[in-house]
Amino acid sequence: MGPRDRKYWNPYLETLSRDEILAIQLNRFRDLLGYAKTHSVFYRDRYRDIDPAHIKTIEDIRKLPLIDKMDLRKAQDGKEPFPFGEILGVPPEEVSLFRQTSGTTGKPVYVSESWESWQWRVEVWCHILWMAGFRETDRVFVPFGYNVYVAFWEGHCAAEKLGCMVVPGGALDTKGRINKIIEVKATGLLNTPTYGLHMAEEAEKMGLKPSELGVKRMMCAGEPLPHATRKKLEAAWGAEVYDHIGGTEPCAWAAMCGQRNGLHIMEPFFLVEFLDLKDQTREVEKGELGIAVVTPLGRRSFPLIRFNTNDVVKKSGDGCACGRTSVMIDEVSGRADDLRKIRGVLFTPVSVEELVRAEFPEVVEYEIVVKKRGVMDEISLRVEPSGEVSQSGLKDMAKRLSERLKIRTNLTFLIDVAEPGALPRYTLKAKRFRDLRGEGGTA
Amino acid sequence: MREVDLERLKSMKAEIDAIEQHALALASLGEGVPAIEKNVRNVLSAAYVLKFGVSDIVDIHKADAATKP
Repeated sequence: MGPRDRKYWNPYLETLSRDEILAIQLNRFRDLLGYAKTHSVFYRDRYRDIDPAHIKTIEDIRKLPLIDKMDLRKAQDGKEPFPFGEILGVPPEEVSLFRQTSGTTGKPVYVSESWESWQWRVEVWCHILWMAGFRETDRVFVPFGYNVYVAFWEGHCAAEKLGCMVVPGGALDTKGRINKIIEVKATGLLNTPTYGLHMAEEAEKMGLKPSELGVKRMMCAGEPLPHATRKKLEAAWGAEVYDHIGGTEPCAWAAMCGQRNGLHIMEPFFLVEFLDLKDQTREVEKGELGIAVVTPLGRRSFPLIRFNTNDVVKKSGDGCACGRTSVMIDEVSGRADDLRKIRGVLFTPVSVEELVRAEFPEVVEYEIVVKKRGVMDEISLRVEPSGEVSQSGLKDMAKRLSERLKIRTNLTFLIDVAEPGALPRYTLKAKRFRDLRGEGGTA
Repeated sequence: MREVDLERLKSMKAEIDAIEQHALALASLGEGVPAIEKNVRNVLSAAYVLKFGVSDIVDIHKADAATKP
């Protein structure tokens, strides 16, 4: 049997019945709660009156309070042991790895990983890469400068554990990275969606066809990957493109299988709840948008119990043509903190990305800006077309964009066409949405 | 879960437990020797991960069997 014939990383775990998954999750939840209460000051204080043995159902778990990034910051700010503070679940000398969040929404959170916890994270990523078809026969190139953020470290280590030949692509510019893909005959890539598109654009400028470079599969990370962007990447690279969702604090908790039709929750490693957008008190129904609340059940150095990720996702059912039995999500709609009311309309930047990538292939980069004009909100879209579009083509593109955006979002956008190369390119966490209304951003 | 799979998982769980016991015994013998202590830590971490994929499944079936009349 060849490596590609072995469909599952762990055939037992990935095909459990719903009852079996739930039983394991409840066992692990009780263990984690008991452990956290006795090893982490934060949980000792928070769950003083809660006996893990009394947690018998999911409903019992729902009675426990949620925690969020702000709680983690408070547990760390000025608290011992430095720098992880009261959340730490192991003696400081057992911490092997330091990670931190990007600090986009405030002070960074410092994340502690013991060797055991890191190996647990890497195991989850082995499942993710295996589901996406990565095997020991792959040569995996990672065009990214890894650093204090968790991005791509897990993928790198998991690909090593799978037995892939892993090539780190840190200290290279984009041209150098494309040349390295050719040099090592890379068959797999780990990158952000934005950077995947940027590399394709640069390869074409070098007179190369990305689809002829031999890349068979790409795992994306770091940003939402709408269907249209994924399709665009697949067309550009002639490769299967996979998405996953996760974060520095909760780890990667859902990912795509070969069907590429929704994401599997990484059960039973995680307990994931999908709570209503309004006040997070009700589990949403299948097909409804909800905020993902995640408990990584095996990570003891940085215990998280009912962590509000702020990720907005559409809940699906369980069961998939791939045979895996875990609950799935249909799509990732972005972050709750990216949801905005503009002129009374609920707006998410992902809706613009979907439209631009699906219907405007001539747009290579874009940026959304919201400002105040007097007392009114004003939203504009700055687009950078490829250099091949004529003046009349630009006018037509701007008109069509305005019309299609109005239909899609119910908002009237001002369209501003930028010169080629005018907008920034990103390697991680593209910042294409700026809301300047709270910063005195008036037009 | 098919009976044949469960039996295989039970055997694997027993081996994981044995690895853990051997690693702890080695740690005890090698106490104070970094080369032993740090490598044992790695073995124990691997055993911890294996428990998620194997032992957890056996444990819920054991509990299930215990509650059956």
